[in-house]
Amino acid sequence: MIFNMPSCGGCRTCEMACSFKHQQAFIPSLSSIKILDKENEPGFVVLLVEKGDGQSMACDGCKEHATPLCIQYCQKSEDLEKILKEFIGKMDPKAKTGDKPMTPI
Amino acid sequence: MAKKDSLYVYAGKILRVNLSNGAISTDSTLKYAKEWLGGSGVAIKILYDELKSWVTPYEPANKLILGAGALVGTTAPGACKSNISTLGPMTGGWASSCSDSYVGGQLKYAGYDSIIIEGKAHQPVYLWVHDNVTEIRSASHLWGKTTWETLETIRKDLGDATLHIISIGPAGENLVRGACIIQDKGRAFGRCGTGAVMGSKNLKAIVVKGTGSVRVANPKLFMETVTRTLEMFKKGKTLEKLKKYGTLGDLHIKQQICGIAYKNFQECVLPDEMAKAIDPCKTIDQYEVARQSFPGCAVGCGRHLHIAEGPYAGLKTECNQMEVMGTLQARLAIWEPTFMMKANALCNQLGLDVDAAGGSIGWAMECYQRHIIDEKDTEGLKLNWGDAEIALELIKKISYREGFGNLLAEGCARAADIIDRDSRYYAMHIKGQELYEPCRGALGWCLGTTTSTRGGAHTTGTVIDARPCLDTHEVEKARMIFGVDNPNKPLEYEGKAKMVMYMEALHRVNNCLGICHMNTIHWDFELLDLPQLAELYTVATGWNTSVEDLKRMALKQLNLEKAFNLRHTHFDRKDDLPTPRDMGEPIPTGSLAGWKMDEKKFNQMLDEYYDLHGWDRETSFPKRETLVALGLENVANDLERIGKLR
Repeated sequence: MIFNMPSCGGCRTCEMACSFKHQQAFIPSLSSIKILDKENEPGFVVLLVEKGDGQSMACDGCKEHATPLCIQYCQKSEDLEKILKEFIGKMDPKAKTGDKPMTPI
Repeated sequence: MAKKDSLYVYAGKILRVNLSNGAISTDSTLKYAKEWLGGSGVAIKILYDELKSWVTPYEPANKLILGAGALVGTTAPGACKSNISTLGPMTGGWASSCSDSYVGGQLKYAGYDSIIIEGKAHQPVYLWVHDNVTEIRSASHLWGKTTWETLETIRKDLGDATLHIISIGPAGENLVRGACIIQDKGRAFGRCGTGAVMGSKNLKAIVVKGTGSVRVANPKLFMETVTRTLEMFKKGKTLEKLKKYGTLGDLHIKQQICGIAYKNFQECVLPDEMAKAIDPCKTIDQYEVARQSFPGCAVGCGRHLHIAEGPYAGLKTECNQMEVMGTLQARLAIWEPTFMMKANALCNQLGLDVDAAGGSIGWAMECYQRHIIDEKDTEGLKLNWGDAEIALELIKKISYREGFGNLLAEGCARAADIIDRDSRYYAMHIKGQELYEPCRGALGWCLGTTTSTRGGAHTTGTVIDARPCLDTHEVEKARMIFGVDNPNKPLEYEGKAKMVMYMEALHRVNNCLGICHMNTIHWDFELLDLPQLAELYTVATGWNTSVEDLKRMALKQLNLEKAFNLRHTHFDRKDDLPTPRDMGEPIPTGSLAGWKMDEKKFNQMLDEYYDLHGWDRETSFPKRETLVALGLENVANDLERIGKLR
């Protein structure tokens, strides 16, 4: 699922942090969050992996952490938090969602 | 927990690629890591050991080393810098430049800490490293392209829009002395002409993708340390402005301290009306469309602009930082506020260092002003101050070595030597490398710049001029960090040698670990300092490393850089002095109007600097006991053989 995040600076620290949560090592190729360059303009979009594909692992919302690791390391964590809540809501409609949903692209 | 005998945080291998014969091999990082840290530290050791004294910058026997900082590939704050080092064409000696880059992290994940490029390809090539596969691919279809076009084409050719690259533009291909290497479309391994060396090897680009891992010795402790050090950034009062405007937010401070080289250093401030007219914060507020940051960075000081009006309407580019504003816009006295963005974009596309551009064009414009050169020399071009179109035209001519641009492509030091006519006075350089840094007024900034082993430049030993300890709390912190009473007195000669020595260590540790200076006390005294860097390195590697260990390693590197320069150049004390203009002319206008360097006191300050380093006052050469104490006895013997040991 891909989301717009205008405040994202493309640092991709979230990818490292997410992979660390999964593997206790930094392996962004496995990460459940991917930051992609926008196609024809400056800026970035956030991809959250719905289903593991043998390389990337599915996002489980970091259930075992008080704060998901991607959000802990994001400079614009409020915006990322909204995206994650929306994603979790769509993946599991029974889960509580955030106040203002970010509509996936 | 750490396994005994395992190598943590480093990828473990150094890739060696010989472009003359296509040979690809690997070395172990462990050979170098414990004594040389990483990045520029490992590079100086390899270059000193492997380059013979007769090697010159553009020949195949020269080597170019790309190194990811040791902490790159982790979430350590600011761990996004890689380094490129070589024997460079600007100074003829140590050439080393860092850049934010995604390629560094990819290199680590692919299993390498550094790549050593040797030899010269017969035809243009690019290097494609993907995990344990290394390919040397034809770049004939890329040769001549800008760096932006190269990125797009490589992504298409390799079928992967997520690839990150470093590449040269036409300037590197044409062996322009100030050619640089560009990361993707912006951020540069800017100084020292590393792009020209890459061009001399017919190497157009390096593309890296890694799907492997970086592991730390103590994962839980590492993340706790990172979390704790990130808290420090909440206290940094300067960070809000830095995030919003980058270093461009400090134009008013540069004006206050007379730190802008207006009209090629004839003045040290902009006219007030010009400062208002070009206010970069206004341009940013108007045209910012996206942010830009790099892995691990706890600041995030970059942004993209879409310029909608004016002569460059339609330009979409990452915004520049203060350096471009100072070295091009201010130096050439150009009033169009979006000129700096256009010039930055053009230099990035062509792969030309902004300081090499500004320094040579500034020299030329001043020579034109003073009738030292005229339209016969410039092929009819009128090099008037403030002419943006001429400046952009010259940037292109330099990059393609066309006409008058061919002279400027040699850099202002050599250009002045070539035409003589008493034009050397106006060539603002140290050791052959163009200056962006005015060396009047802020003495820690000046001393760090003039003594820099890579020539005129401020990121390997200066005390930053634009942060002169603005409040009492900062002064106390700075006193503790530097061990001097007067860190907030930039015009006092006392104590500056000691401050520069500290910054030489901090900057080198940053460059080896891959930490961006802007995440450290280089920029704000609340941020990372040597104690935090020692801690991060210790928990990452499992090697107990103290601040003193880091300082000793940095000093060892500095001395080896010095020895490298002594072997390849004729530098001595005279090359550690400010330019004749900065030494002899008073600051004409501004808050420091009338301030003039006290030559005697500067030399006393330089004497103190040499004493602190254990170098000879008369020549600047290291003393035997200094090198032996650092474990460099063989280097002492080398220098003795060439008569450069004291």
